[in-house]
Amino acid sequence: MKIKDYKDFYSGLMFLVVGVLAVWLSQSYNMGTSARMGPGYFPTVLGGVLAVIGVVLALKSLGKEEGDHTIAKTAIGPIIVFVAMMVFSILAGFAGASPNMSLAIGTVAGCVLAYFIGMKALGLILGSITVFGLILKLVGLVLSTLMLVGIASLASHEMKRKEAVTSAIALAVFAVAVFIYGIKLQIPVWPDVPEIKRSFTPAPSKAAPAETSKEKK
Amino acid sequence: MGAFDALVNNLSLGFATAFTLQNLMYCFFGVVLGTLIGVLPGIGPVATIAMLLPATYALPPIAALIMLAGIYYGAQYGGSTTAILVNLPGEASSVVTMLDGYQMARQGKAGKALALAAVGSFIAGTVGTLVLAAFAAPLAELAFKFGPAEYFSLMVLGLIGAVVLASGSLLKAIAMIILGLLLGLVGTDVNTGTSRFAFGIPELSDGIGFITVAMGCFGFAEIIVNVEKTEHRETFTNKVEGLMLKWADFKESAGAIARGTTIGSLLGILPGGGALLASFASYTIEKKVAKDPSLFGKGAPQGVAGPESANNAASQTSFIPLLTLGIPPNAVMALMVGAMTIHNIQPGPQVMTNNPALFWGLIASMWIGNVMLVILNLPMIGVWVKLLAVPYRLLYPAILLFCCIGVYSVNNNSFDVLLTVLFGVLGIIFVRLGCEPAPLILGFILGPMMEENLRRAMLLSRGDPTVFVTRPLSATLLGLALLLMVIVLLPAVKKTREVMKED
Repeated sequence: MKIKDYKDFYSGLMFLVVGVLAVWLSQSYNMGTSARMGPGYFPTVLGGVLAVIGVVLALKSLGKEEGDHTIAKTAIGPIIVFVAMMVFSILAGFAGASPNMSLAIGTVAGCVLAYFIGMKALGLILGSITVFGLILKLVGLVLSTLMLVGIASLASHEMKRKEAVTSAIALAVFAVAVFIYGIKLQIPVWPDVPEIKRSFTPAPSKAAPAETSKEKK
Repeated sequence: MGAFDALVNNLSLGFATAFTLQNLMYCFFGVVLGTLIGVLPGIGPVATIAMLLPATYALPPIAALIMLAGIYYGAQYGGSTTAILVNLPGEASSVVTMLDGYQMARQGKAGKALALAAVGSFIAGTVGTLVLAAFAAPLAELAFKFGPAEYFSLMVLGLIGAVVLASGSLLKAIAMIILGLLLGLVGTDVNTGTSRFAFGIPELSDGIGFITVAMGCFGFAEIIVNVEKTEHRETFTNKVEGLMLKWADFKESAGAIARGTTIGSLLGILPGGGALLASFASYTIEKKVAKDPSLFGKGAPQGVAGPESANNAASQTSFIPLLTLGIPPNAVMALMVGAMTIHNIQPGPQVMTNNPALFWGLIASMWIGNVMLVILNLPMIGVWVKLLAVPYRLLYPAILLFCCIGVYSVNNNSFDVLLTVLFGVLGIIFVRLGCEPAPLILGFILGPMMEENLRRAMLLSRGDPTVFVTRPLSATLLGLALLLMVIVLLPAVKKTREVMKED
């Protein structure tokens, strides 16, 4: 038995895993009866159906001859990155980081991993978004924009350094003009020193509730 | 002629609302911004709307909706321009325009192709708006007869429709819908207050934002794919002339425009239908009725005029299920639901009765938007063309920036920005595995609605699931869904779908 369609085979496995996870996680919620459905009812049914579809898809993708693996192979990298992001986020959460920080740690780790296992564009582009999300509240729109454009520009083979710097500065000016003065979004423009200080001193009040709710699960 | 009088009355109310200076201005902004972003290669209407949505937060609801509708048409229109001049589709429905439009451009007839697309779109848009106005009231009447069982069945029909009419593997599309439904359940359950799949994270207790999902899966994934492949494309940016259509040119394509408009208007109403299906269907028909089908793919003007008309007509009429039943028939409309809820409007039949000015104003401004597009695009084509000449390496960081600011400003929350990174990776995985993300978005929006109606229906029937087949309306809807499934599994239809996929 060989794999005829790798794309379908991997998709099937992915759906199976997600379906099983959904059913498993739903078990902690009240099922209820079909007349009075609890919060666990619908997700359990959906997860079950998803898992079954996954199995069918995977089985259907098997055949006598070996299929083309070239495109489907390129999905393995991103899958590893995604799993890494989840694992690191969850670990950080257990270690007591706030939800925001956990997710940031996970995504940064994933992007760095992506960069080093041959997915430069993915790592740099998503990395630039991560950095932007992470520092926007602390250092303001101008510096965050420079960082985002700077990192993201590295992803293109054709990018010239001078060009990237010019476009970063132009975009920062443009962003402030349009989003701050134009549609008046509530975003800090310049670094907020007290906020930075606060985020670098450990805040037990923030971390504690995240941890207890994790333990409940 | 009571119905006709009512229609005239409603439309005049609509035009009275839309023709205020403020609303005209927002309509104009929407059209310009939509075209501006939509013209950028690789960005379709979904990503454009998601990106520009924050710009409408501060507006009053009606102005916001008018602007969003303008953004939508503008984006679609901009996509066609890109398809004709750069051979790079921003969205699936432009793929069809590309087949002959780009060939026309290569033969030095870019101006004619653009003009045909504009005129065809305008005619189709006008008809589509009239169809929308005429059908909205009776359909909304019908919607008031709907109970939870009917709503549930209707959503099933809509989802099945979306799966069946889209190209690609059926099983995968269904799985993507379920994945979307599951994602939609994240957050606090409205009936019991139980927090589901939120893992004690306060940012998730309100659920995952639909912009977060859409931006990650569509926007970021698309950009990464485009940056990774660095092939060079021939862009026809300095040879755009002949924008004035000759009478003979128009006559040659009039039939195609008429047929495209009809097909588009019909297919747009169907749940799961919309621009993509309409343009494919129109292209197939044009090829069938043409005297010399071998010209198609080599720059046949009908191959541009027909599909362009069809997709514009369909984008108008796909507002019908959304505005009358509150059910989005495709991913773009799903985004509109999200936008409406941000402005505290629950889409559905009650909008028309409770807020007629908003409802008819929106419809009237759709037509105004179409007029503006024609006026704006033919003389201003040079501006868009210049934009197309900007290399992608300079464009994508800017696009990324706007996306990030857009996501952040929904809740003023960086958690959402970080979350899009996860969805970006997911989006890439989906692309590589050949799983279309559009059904996922649809499921994501419908998830909570579906669960709610399922629960209510089952509660009313005391746990008896036969309620879905014993109530005639609900049974009809489910029957239709079943019929769609059967049709698609017929060998002949299956084959055409596969051909569509190949093209």
